[in-house]
Amino acid sequence: MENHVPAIKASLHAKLEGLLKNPLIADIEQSAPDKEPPRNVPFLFGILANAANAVDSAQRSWREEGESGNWSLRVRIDYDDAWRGCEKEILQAVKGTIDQRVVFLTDQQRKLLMRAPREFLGLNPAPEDATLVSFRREFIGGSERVTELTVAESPKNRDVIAAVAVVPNLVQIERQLAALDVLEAQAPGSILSPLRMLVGLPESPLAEHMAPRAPLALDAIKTGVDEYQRECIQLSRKTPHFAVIQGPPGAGKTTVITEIVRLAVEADERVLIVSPTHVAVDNVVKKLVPADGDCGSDPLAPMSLPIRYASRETSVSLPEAKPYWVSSKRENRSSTVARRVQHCLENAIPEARGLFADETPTDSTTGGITAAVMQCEQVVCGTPIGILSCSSVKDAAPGTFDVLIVDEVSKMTLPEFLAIAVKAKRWVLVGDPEQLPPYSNAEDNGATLDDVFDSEQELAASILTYHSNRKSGNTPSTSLVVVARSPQGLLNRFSSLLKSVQSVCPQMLVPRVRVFSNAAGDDRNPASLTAQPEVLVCSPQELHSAIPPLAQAGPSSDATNTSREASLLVERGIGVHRPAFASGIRLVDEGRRCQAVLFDGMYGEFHTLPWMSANNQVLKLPCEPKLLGLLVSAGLAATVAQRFAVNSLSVFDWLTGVQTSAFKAPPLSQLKDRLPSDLIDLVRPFVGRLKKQYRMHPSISGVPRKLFYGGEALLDGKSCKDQYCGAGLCQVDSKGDGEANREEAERTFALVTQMAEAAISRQRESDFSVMIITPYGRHESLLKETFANWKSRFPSLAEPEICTLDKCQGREMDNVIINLVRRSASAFMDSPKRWNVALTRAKKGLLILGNIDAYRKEARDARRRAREGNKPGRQGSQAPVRMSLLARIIEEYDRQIRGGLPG
Amino acid sequence: MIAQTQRHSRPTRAEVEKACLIFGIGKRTLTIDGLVRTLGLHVAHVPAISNVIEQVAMEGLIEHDAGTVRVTLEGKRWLSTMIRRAKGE
Repeated sequence: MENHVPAIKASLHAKLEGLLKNPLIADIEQSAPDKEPPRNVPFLFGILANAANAVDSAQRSWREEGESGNWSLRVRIDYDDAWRGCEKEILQAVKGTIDQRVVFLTDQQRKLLMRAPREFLGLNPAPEDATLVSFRREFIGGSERVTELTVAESPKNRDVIAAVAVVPNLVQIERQLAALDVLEAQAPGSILSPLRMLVGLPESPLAEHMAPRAPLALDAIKTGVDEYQRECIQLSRKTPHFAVIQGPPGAGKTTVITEIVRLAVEADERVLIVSPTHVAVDNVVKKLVPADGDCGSDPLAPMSLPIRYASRETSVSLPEAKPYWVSSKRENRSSTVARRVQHCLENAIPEARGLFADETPTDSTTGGITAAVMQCEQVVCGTPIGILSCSSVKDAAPGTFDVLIVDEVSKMTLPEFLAIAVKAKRWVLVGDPEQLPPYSNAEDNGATLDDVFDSEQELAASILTYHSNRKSGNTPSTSLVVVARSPQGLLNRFSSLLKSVQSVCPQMLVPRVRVFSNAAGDDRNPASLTAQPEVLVCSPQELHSAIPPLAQAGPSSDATNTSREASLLVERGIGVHRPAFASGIRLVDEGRRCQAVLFDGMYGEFHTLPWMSANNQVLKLPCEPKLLGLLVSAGLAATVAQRFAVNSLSVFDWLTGVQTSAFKAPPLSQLKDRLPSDLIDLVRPFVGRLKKQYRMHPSISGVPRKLFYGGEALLDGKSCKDQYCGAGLCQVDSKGDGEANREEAERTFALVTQMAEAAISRQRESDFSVMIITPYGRHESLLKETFANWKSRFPSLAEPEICTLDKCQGREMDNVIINLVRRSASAFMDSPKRWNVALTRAKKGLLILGNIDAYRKEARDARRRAREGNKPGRQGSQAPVRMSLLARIIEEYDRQIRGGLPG
Repeated sequence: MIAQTQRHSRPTRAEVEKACLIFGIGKRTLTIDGLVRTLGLHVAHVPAISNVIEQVAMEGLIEHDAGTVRVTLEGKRWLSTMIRRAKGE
C-alpha cells in the first residue's frame, strides 16, 4: 500500500508557496512627527528624542474606530513601481480579502516573505494576523487606489509592525494539512482507520468496526422513492465506512440525501452535509426544511433544524435557506427557530396558543426552550472548507459527527475531502463522475511537480512544450530567452531530449536553440535577440546586460510586429530584476511551463480519452498525448501519476477506482496502481447508482442518455405528453470564431423576449423560467450586457439566468437555451462532461442555438470519410469517426427529431 | 400611563416558554425524555432542554430528581399569576 501523505503534503506546500509568491504588501504609513526635533540638546539625547517620536508616529498611524473595536491604518502600496498599472487587480484582491485574514509583518518578516516563502510559512510563532473588515479607496493620479485598511484587531506590538500582507486565503490549504496531521496521529484501528487506508497509512486489515451495520426495516424508508433510491439509502445505512452513490442529473440525489438525513436524525445521530458548491448545499437545505408556515410537513419532524453555515449571507443562494444561515459573527436563525418552537408548543400544549397570543409584542428576548433548541446543532450544512470555521465543527474532536454526507463529490479532490472528513466516522458520498470533475488550475497544480522535476529538466521540457503547443504549420513567431546558471549544460540536456522526441515524432517542429554569447559581435545588437524566432540560452548576467538596449527598442509596444516579441524562461532560484517593467520582455506565464502543460494535458486526456474509446470517436485533445509520455521519463512517471491523482482525481475515483485501458502511455496508464485497491474492494459492496431521472422531458434526456451513459442510466422515471415540451435546434448564420458572438446574443434576446410576451399574454408569468448557457465567459458577459434592461422591461417576470458551462452544474430551469458561439468546436468544447451537464439542465424545453449547419456539415463529412475508410479491402477494423462532440450532439438531436419525438 | 403598565405586564416570550414547560409537566411526574416528547420536541434536544429544566428548578418552580420532573407549589402559583397577566387581569 502506497503512503500518499508525503505526496499530498508536498503538493499542498507547493500550493502554499505559490500563493505566497506574489503577496500584496502594504507598508504602514508613518505619519510625520508633529513636534520639531529638539534643538540645543546634547547629541545622545537628540537621538533618543527622535526615536521616541518615531515610535509615537508609528502608534499614531493606527486609529481605533469608536465602539466597534476595529482599527484603521493608513497604508502605502508601491503603485509607482512594483504594482504599476495594477490598480484594478489590487482593488479586487483587497475586496476579496474582506472577512479573511491579513498578516502583520515586521520589517524582517517582510524581507523573509519576499525572499523565502517556505521559511516564512515555518515561522514559529507565526506572524500575527487579523480579519480585514473594510478598506478605503481614494482617487489618486486618475485611478482608485487603496489607502486605508480597517482590521478587526490590532497586533500586540503595533510599534514593530511595518507592513500588512494581503495574501490569498491560506486557510483552505492549512486546513487540508491539519487533517493529514490528525490522520497521522491516529493509531491503527481507530475510528478514522478507513480514512487512513484511503491515504495509504499503515492500518490493520480488518478492524472490528468495519463489519456491515444492520440493514433498515423495509418500512423505515419513506414511500415515494424508486427502487434505485431505496437501494442507495439502504447502502448508506448499512455501510460501516463509505457509501458511494452515483446520481446522474435529475435522478433524485437531493431526495436521497434528505432521506438519509431524516433516518440519521431519527437514530439520534449528528450529521454534517457538505458540497463544494453553495447551490448544492442550499438545494439540500431547501429540501430539509418545510416551506414557511408549513411546519406540519417538516421532513425532519419533529424539530431538528439544519444550520446553514457560510461566512457571508451572499453565499447563500436560495431564499429558502437564508433563515437557517449562521455565520461566525451573527445568527439570524433565532426568529425562525422561535417560530418553529412556538408552532411545536402550540400543537403539543392546548394552553400555549393563548399564552403566545397574549405575549408582549415588543419583547425580543429569546426564550429558554428556543435557546436550547438553537444549541442543538445536529445537522450542519456548508462548503467543505468554509464549514470548518463554524465553531461547533471547528472545535469538534475527530469523528464527532456520525455521518458526513458529501454532495457533488465528483468535484472534490482528496485533500479537500480529508479536511472535513476527519470530523466524521462514516461517509456517504454522492456525485456523478460523468459530470464536471474537480476544477483544475494547471498553473497551481503544475507547481506541485516542482520537487519532482529538476530545474534543467523542467526548463528543457518547458521549451519543448512551448513550441509544440503552437499551431502546427505556423513557424514560431516568438523567441524564447532562457536564463540558466549554466547555459551550455542546459543546451546539452535539451539536445538529448530533443533527439529522443525526434526519434518518436519525426514530424514534430523543434526550435533552433543556441547559446547567447556577448562575445559574438552580432549578438551585441539587441535587435538580434528578437529578429529571428529561436531559443537563446544565456546567463543572468548576460540578460541584464542585454535588457537596457532592449528597453530602448521598445519591442512590445508594436503589437502587430510579433516577430520582435521575446519571452523569457527563467531557471528556478534565479532572480531577474523585474524584466517585465525594465525591458518589455515578458516572462513566459506559469501556465506555459512544462509542469502546467503536463497537468493540463493529463486532465484533458483523463476526462476525454475513455469517452473516445467507448464511442469509437476522435475528439481534439488540448495536448499531444505522445509528448506527455515523452516528458515523463520512466522513473518519474509513477510520481507524476501520484501527484495527478492527488490534485485532479475526485474522491469518487479514489474510492471506486479508474479504468486505465484507454490510456496507452504513462503516466495515466499507471494511475490505477496508485489508488488504494484494498479499500476499493472493501467499498465496492456499498457503491450504488441511481438510474431514473425525474427532471427532464423524455425528448431532452434521450441524447445525453445515449451519449454519456451508454443507455444504462438517465432512464425516464416519469412520462410526459405535454406537447409544448421538447428539444430543438436554431440556426444562426454567423462566422463565430471568437469567444463571443453578437448575432447569437441578439437572436437569444429576441427569442426570450417572445417567450416573455407569450407568458404575459397567457397570464402565466410565474411559469416563466429561462436559463442561457454558453461555453465562454466573454459571451456570458455579452449576454448579460444584452439583457441588462430586462427588469425594467418585464418587471413581473424572473430575470433569465445566464451562466457558463462550468457554472451551471446543480441548477435546473424549465427552459434552457444553449449558445454555441463558435461554428467549429475547440478542444475546450470537446469535453463530454461539460456537455453532459449543459444538456441536462432543462426540465421542459431545450434549444441549441448557433451555426448548426456548420456542425451538420462537419458530421456529414466525418461519416463519409469513415465510410470510405471502412470500405472492404481498405482497412481491417472500423476506423474511428473524427468529428467534434458538438457535431455528434447535433447529429443525434437531428436523428431524434426526424424519428418523431417532439422537437 | 395605565395602558403602558398593562402592556408591560403581559408575559414575555421567555416567560411564555417557561409556562409551556410547566404546562407540559402538568400534574404528573415525568421523565425528562418524556417531557421533551410532550413538548413536541425531539430526543436530540434532551441534553439542551435538561439545562433549561435545571435553570427553572433553581427558581424553585419545578423539582427534578433521578431524571424525573414535577411542578412545585411555587410553580403552580407562578403559573396562575402568569395566566392572569396574560388575560390582562
